[in-house]
Amino acid sequence: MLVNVIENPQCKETKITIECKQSDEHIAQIANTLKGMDNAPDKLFCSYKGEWYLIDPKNVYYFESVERKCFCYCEKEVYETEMRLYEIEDKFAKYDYIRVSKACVVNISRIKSIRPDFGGKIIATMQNGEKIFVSRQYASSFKMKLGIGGVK
Amino acid sequence: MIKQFFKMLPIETAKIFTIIMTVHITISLVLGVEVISVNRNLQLLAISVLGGALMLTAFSDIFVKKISFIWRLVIFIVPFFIITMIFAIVFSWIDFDFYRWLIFIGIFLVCFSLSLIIYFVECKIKGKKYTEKLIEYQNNKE
Repeated sequence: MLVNVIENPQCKETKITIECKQSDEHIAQIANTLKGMDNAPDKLFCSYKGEWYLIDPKNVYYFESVERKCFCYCEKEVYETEMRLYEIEDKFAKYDYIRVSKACVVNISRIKSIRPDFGGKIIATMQNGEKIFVSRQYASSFKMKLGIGGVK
Repeated sequence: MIKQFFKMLPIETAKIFTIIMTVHITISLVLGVEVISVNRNLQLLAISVLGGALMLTAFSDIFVKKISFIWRLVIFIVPFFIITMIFAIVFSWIDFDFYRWLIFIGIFLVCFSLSLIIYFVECKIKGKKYTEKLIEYQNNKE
């Protein structure tokens, strides 16, 4: 598939045209995805098994960066996103995301319980039972966010 | 990694030294010992430093990552027990009497078990408090 981006200062509205021999399900999916992206700027554009999805940030449990790739963990599925962790933190600042380690950003509203762990760490148990470690470095800011205390 | 280790070492050493000194003073009082020598204090400090280093090795993620809690316990308790026995022999903490040694090992195991129980109870109480705050935060956001 050939993708062309043409910049035109005279253009008043961004227009995407799909030129194909014959429209099929795949083309319809691309069109729907593009429409969906335009209608939902607050959604996350993620891929799963070669297909693209728009994910509601509220449904994300946590994001993890592994070997320069960023993964988005929902209740059961794991999607891959092109965004970096700092971009996610910036773009979705209004959602309850918080950095809990160098490689992980967690959705506070999806945490079921928390407890302290050895060495100043905190273990957060997610609503789906997964356990996420809040590193010592980020434990203070995490506790402060929840009003538990912590060093300023 | 090494920098983080040495940054945390004094805290862990202080924790172990507090436990060891409390136990030592209690036993000394029970046995009617009124004076604790500077040498003995230094020996206890040395064992506390080694214990602190072992604690960090076993329970933090600095050197050992992604292993179960049971294995972490083993990594800590086995070398610490051996070190304690070596100290007890080298510095003649106990006479060569089988029953005295048995009591010594018993005290070691009781102290270790008590420390574990206190740690778990503290974690449970704090965990309850933290989770209450979390739920309060989540309810306020809704």
